[in-house]
Amino acid sequence: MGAQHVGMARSDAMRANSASLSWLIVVAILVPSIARADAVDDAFVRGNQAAQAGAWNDAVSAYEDAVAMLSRDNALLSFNLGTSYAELGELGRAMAHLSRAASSSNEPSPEVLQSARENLERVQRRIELQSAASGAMLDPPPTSWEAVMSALGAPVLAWLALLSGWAFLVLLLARLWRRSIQDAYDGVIGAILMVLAILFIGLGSLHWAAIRSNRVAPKAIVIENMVPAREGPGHHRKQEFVLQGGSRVRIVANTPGWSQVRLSSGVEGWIPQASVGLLEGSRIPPPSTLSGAPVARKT
Amino acid sequence: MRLQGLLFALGVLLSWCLPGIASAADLRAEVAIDRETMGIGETLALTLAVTREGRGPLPEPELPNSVTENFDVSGCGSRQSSQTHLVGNSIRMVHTRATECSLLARREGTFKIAFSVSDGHQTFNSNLVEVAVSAAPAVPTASAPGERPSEAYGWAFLWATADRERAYVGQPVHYQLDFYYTQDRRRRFGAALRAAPSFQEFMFSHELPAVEPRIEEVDGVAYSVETISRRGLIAASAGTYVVSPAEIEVRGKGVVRSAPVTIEVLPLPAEGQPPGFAANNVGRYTIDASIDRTTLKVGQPATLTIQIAGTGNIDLVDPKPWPELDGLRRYDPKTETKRDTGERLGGVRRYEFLVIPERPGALTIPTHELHFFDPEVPGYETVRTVAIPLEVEGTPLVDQNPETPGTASAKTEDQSDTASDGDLPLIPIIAAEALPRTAVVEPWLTFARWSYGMLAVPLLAGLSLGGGFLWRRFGPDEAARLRSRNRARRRSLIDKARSAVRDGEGFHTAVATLLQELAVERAGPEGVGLPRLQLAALLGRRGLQSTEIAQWERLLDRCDRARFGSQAPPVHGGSSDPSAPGGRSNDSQSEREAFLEDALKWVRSTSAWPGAMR
Repeated sequence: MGAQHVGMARSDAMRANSASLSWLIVVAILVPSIARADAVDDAFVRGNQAAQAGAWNDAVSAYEDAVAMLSRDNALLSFNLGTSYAELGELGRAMAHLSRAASSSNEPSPEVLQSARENLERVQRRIELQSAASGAMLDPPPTSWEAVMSALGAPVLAWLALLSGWAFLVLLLARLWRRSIQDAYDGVIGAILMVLAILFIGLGSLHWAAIRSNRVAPKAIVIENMVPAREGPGHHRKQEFVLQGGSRVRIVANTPGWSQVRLSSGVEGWIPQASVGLLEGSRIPPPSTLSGAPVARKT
Repeated sequence: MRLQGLLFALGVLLSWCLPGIASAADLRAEVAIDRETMGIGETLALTLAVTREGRGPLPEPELPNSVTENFDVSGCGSRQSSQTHLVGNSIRMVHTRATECSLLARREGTFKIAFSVSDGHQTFNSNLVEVAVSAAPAVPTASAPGERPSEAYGWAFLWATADRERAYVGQPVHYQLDFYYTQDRRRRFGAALRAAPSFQEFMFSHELPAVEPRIEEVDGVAYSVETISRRGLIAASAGTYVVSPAEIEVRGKGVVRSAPVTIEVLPLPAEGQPPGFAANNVGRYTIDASIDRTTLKVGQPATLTIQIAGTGNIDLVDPKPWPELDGLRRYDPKTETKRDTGERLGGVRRYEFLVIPERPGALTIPTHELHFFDPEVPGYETVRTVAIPLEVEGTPLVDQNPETPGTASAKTEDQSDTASDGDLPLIPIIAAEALPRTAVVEPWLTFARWSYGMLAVPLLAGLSLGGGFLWRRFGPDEAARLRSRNRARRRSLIDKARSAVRDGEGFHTAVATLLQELAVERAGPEGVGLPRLQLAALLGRRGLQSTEIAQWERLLDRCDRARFGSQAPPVHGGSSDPSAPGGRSNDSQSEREAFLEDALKWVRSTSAWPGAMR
C-alpha cells in the first residue's frame, strides 16, 4: 500500500511538472508576439501624436518603425503614413502608401478606404501640378484598356472561369456515360456545353493574360519626387526624360540597383531601384532623409 | 639525265639574263599632259615618266621649275610598273617610274614643261610640251535679288544670290548658293568645297532646310543643280554686309567660284515705333491664345497656350512681359519653337502656362499685344490675343484650409507653400489608440491553384473523350451486352429461387421463369409467346436433344403442379406463362432444394447447347 501511495504521488508530481512546462512553453511563445504588438502600437501612437503636433518627420519615422515591425501591410497605418508623406511633400511615397491603404487586399475599414481615396485624389492633383510646373513626365490617365485589364484580373473572374470549366467537364462526362440523357436533351446539353466552353476558354485566357502581365511587369509607383530616367542602367547613361514622383509605372526588367520602367504610354527608361516601390508585396523603402519639398515655382 | 637537266636550266637562265644585260643603258624620260590649252582656275593632269629597258635603278622624276612657278600643284602621286615584251627569241623587260600631279594655272601665258633625270654620269632629257593658259572665265553674278542664271557658264559654275539687296536690322535675308554642272561631264563625286561662303559679319545665321537636287535648263544647256548652302541671315546693326565668295574644285576639271553677295542693312525707322519696342521683332507675325478648358474648379490647373507664328527670326521674338491674371496663379511657361521647313525663315513659338484659379466666379484671361516691324510695309504693326472668359466654380482656396482642432492639419513653415498651392487640404490622419489587427484571410484560390484547376479541365475532358472513344472502339458490342444482361437476369432469378427455398414463397415461380426464359433465349425471337408444346418443338428444331427437352418439360410441369396444384393447366397445350401467380407449395424444403439442384443442373447444361449464347 505504501509503495502504491509513493508511486501515485510521484506520477502526480510528474503530471504537474509537465503541465507547468507546457504553460511555460505557451507563455514563451506568446510573450514576444505580445511584446511586438505593444511595440507596434507604441510606434503607431507615437506617430499619431507627432502628426497631430505637425511634426511630420517624426510621424513618418514612427510610422515607418511600425511598418518595419509588421509582417504585412496595415490599411490604417499605410493611410497615416501616406498622409504624413503627402504633408511633407513626398508625393511619390504618399501615393504609394495611400494606394496600399486603399487596396482591398489589406481590407481597409470604410472610413480608412474613403479617406485614402480622397487623399489619393488630392495627392494626384498635387502631382499633376508639380509635373505641369516642372515638365517632368507623368503617366497619362488610365486608359479604358487598363481598366479592362484590371477587371480581368479580379478573383470573381477566376472563379467564373474555373467553375465554367468544371461544369463543362461534369456535363461532358454525364453526356458520355448516360446516352439516354444525350438522346433526350441533345440540343440543350450541346448549347450549354458550348456556352461553358466559351466561358472557360475566353474568361480563362483573359484572366491569365491579366495576371501574367501583372507578374511579368508588376505595377509600381515612382516614390522619389523627380527621377531621371536613363537609356540604360547606370548613372553614366544618357538621360532620356525625368519621371514625376507618383507616376504609375510597370517594372519590365531589373538589373542590380536599376529597374527598367514603362509608362502606360509605352515610354521606357531605367531608374534606380530605390526610386520605385511596388504597389503590392515588398516594403516601400523609406527616404534616406526627410524634408519638405516645394510643389511648384510661382512666377 | 642529271647532266642534261642541269644544262637545260642553265640555258633558260642565260636566255633570261642576256637580253637584260644587253639593254641596260636604255633610259628614257617623257612628259605628258592631258590638254594643251586651259583657263585660269582649270586643272591640268601632268605625268612625268622615266622608263628603262632591262635592269637598273630608276631615278625619280622631279617637277621642273616652270611647273612650280606657274601652277598650283596638288594631288601628286608616284607609281612604278614593269612590262615584259617577247621580241623574236628574246625577252625584254621594261620598268617605268611615273609621277602624276594636278596643276592649277595661276597666271595667263604659254608655259613649256620638260624635265631631266641623271643616271650615274649620264643625263637624260625629256620631251618638251607647251601649255597655253588663257584668262579666267567670268564669275557669274546675279544682277537682281533672287534672280536665276540666264546664261550658261561652261561646264560648271556657282550661283550665289540673296532675296534682297537691302534689308532692315533684324530682317532675315535669304542667301542661297547653287552649284550648276553639266550632266554629260558630271564629276560631282570628285568635287570639294575649297572655300565656304562666310556669314561672320551677320549676327544670326540660321541654316534653312536643304533643297533636293534638280535639273535646270540655262540658255539651252541642261545643268544639274545642287544647293550647297541656304541661310537666313540677320544683321543686328545697320551697315553694308558681304557674303564672301565660295569655291568648289572638281578633280581633273578645275575650280569654280561664286560672286560675293552684298547686302545693305538699314536701321529700323524711328517714326511710329512703339515705346519699349523689341528690336528683334522684325517680320510678320500673328498671336493667338487658347486654354484647354474654360470651366474650372478652384485649384484645378489648366494650360494656357499663347502662340506666335509667322515669318521672321522666330527664335528671338520678344513677347514682352505677360499681363497679370486676376484671380489666377500663373507659373513659368514652357517654351517651344518650331521653325518652318519652307522657303522663308519663320515658324511657330509656343508658350504654355500652367494657370490655377484661386477664386470662383467669372474670370478673364486678358488680351496680350505683340508689336513688330513689318519690313514689307514697311511699318510697325500690332497684333493681340482675344480675351478668354473663364467660369470658375468652388470656394476660394484660402477658406478651404481651416485648422481643424484635434486633427493633424497643422503645417510647418515648409508646408505652408504646399497648402496654398491650389490644392484641397488633405484628409487628416486617423488617430487611434492602437493599430487594429485584422486577420486577413488569404484567398483560397491562389494563382497556382487556379492554374492547376484550369489545366485539369481540358486534361480530364481529353481523357474522358479518349476513354469513351476507346470503349466504343474496343469495348463490348450489343450482343455481348445482351448476353451480359441475360446472365444477370439469370443470376437474379437463381438468387431469388435460392432465397425462396426456405419458405417456398415464389420459389417455383422463379424457377419456372428461369427455365422459360432460358428456353426462349435458345429458341430465339420466334420462341417468344409460344405455348410450351410449340416451344419444345421449336427447341427440337433448334437442335436440342429430346432428353433435354423432356427434362425441361418435366421441370416446368413440376413447377406448374407446385404452383397451381389440381388446377394446374394441362402440360400439353397449356399456357407457358411462368409468371402466372402461384401459391405456396406443399413440398418440403429438402424437396425444394433437390428440385432446385435438378433445375440448376439443367440450367448449367444449357451452356453446352449448340449455338448457346455465352
